[in-house]
Amino acid sequence: MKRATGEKLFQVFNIFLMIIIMASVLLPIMHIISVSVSDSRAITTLGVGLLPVGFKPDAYISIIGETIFMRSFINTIIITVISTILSLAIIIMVAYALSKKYFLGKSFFVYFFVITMYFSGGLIPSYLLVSKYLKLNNTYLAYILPILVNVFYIIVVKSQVEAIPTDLIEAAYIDGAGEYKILFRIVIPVIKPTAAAIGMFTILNCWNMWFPVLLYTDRREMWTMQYYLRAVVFEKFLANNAENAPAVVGADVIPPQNYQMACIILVSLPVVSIYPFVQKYFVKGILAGSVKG
Amino acid sequence: MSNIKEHSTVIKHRSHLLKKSRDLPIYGLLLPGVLLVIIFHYIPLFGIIIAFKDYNPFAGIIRSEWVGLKNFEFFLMDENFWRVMRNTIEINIMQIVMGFPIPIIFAILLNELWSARLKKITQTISYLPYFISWVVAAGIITSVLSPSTGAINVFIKRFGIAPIHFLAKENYFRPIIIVTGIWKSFGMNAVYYIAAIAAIDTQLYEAAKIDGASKIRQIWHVTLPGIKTMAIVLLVLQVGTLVSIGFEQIFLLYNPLVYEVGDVISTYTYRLGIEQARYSLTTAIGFTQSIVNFILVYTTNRIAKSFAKWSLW
Repeated sequence: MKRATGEKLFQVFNIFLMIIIMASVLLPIMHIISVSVSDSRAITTLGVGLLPVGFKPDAYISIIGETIFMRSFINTIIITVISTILSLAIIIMVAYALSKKYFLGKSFFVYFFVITMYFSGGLIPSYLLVSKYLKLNNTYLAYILPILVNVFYIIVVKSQVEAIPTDLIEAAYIDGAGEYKILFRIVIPVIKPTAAAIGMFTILNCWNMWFPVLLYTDRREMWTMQYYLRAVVFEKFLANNAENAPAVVGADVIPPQNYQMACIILVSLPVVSIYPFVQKYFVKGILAGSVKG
Repeated sequence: MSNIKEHSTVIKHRSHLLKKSRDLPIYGLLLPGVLLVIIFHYIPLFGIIIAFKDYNPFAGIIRSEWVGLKNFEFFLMDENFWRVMRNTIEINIMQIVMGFPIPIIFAILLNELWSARLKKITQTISYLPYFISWVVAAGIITSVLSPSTGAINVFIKRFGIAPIHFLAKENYFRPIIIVTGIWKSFGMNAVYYIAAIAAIDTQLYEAAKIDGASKIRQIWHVTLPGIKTMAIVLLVLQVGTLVSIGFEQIFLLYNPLVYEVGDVISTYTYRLGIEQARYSLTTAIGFTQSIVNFILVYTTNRIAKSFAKWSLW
């Protein structure tokens, strides 16, 4: 196919724009990587731009060897796994129940859940409940329990279950299958792709969680990775908090700047290396939400 | 004959039993969800009553003294409140004005790329900021903008220009928030438009080409009308969040030097409520905000839905 000169020019211009867009995402990250492996003196005297000056992976080695970092990492994994499993289970159970055409109090329960999408008590009542009344401070429960029910996802799954032909489910009843059997044999296989997408969003949210840590704990053993990173980068706990600083710091050996950037890379590495393979779930999830919402 | 009769009664009996036994497992499935929603949603909703009380931690919510609308009067008279209200709305409007067209332009340009491979690579990279947390993003931003070691200042220092402490300057703070907000979300926001463009009938483009329409005219007359509804719906929904603004981005990037232009309702209520423990006042502000929010979200949702219905999907 022959293309006009105008179109070719447009294409060149377009590719040029796309390169700028990619650069806007990749250059800052290159800068971070470069600083994280650069020679400590170069960072403060010369300044490190896009390419590393020297090569010293010391910061990475010391962070990985640090107890608080490993503890935060393990905490994050525990919280992510438990919340994702429980949250998916509850979303599917409620969505399936609400998809039933008739049961006593159906419309009451639908409203009961939907109202929570529009009204919430806000920061302080929830904070007082969790910390002062339920006394869940310094427990995983304070992070996990409040986020388990996601009504938006319930509605997405519910409408998918409703799309299953009723004959299929009726036939299963006649064969003597109970609700639980139907749920596992018929419903779950159908909603599997949606459940996978919801699971991915939940994993991402848990992995990126730090605000509940700020609210509900005063113990380092309860930190998540993001909170650890926040402490390193924003609270300057390495520089100002000498007694709590990790043993490896020794100021002139590894400068905080090095350390901070290495920390950013380590915390985001798992998600950044996995997302290209799971992005389609997120795209599908976002589009499914737009149709239902 | 009697056989058939017997059979039908069996069925009747059975279906009756089925109906009864059917409901019970349903409540079983609902139970954990219902309990969690009662505890973590309805009880905090009830907790809003402390907005009308003078909350005393020793007396608890129930026995604290009623004070009527005193907390509301207090913050409505407080100039700090109006400052954060103004900042919230202004930053939001700027975010909408600047952030709305970019995913559309990106989606259109992406669609015009000839190379499928370049398309895929660009799109994947554009998603990256969406997947990193705000803590990581804010870490990258503060480091790139750092006055001593940040890439931008390292660069301008080479030209003999004095380094700028971007995040501590009032005139830079809002642009930084808006640009980085767009940076983090444009890729995923473009997903809606990419899907809408993919749904456009390719025959329309063929017809336009036969009529001799240039690329620009094709975009103007075919692509844009094809994504118009999606754009309107998303714009309207965005207006619905006018008084609520993401907490994390601003909380992680701001500092007292830029409170005048950067402090918003969510960060203000955090400091007031959690750091200063002024529970009743903060709850009053949160309650007012959520009412305004509800009205906005509800109306904009209705408008968005009617737009979506007018067009063919």
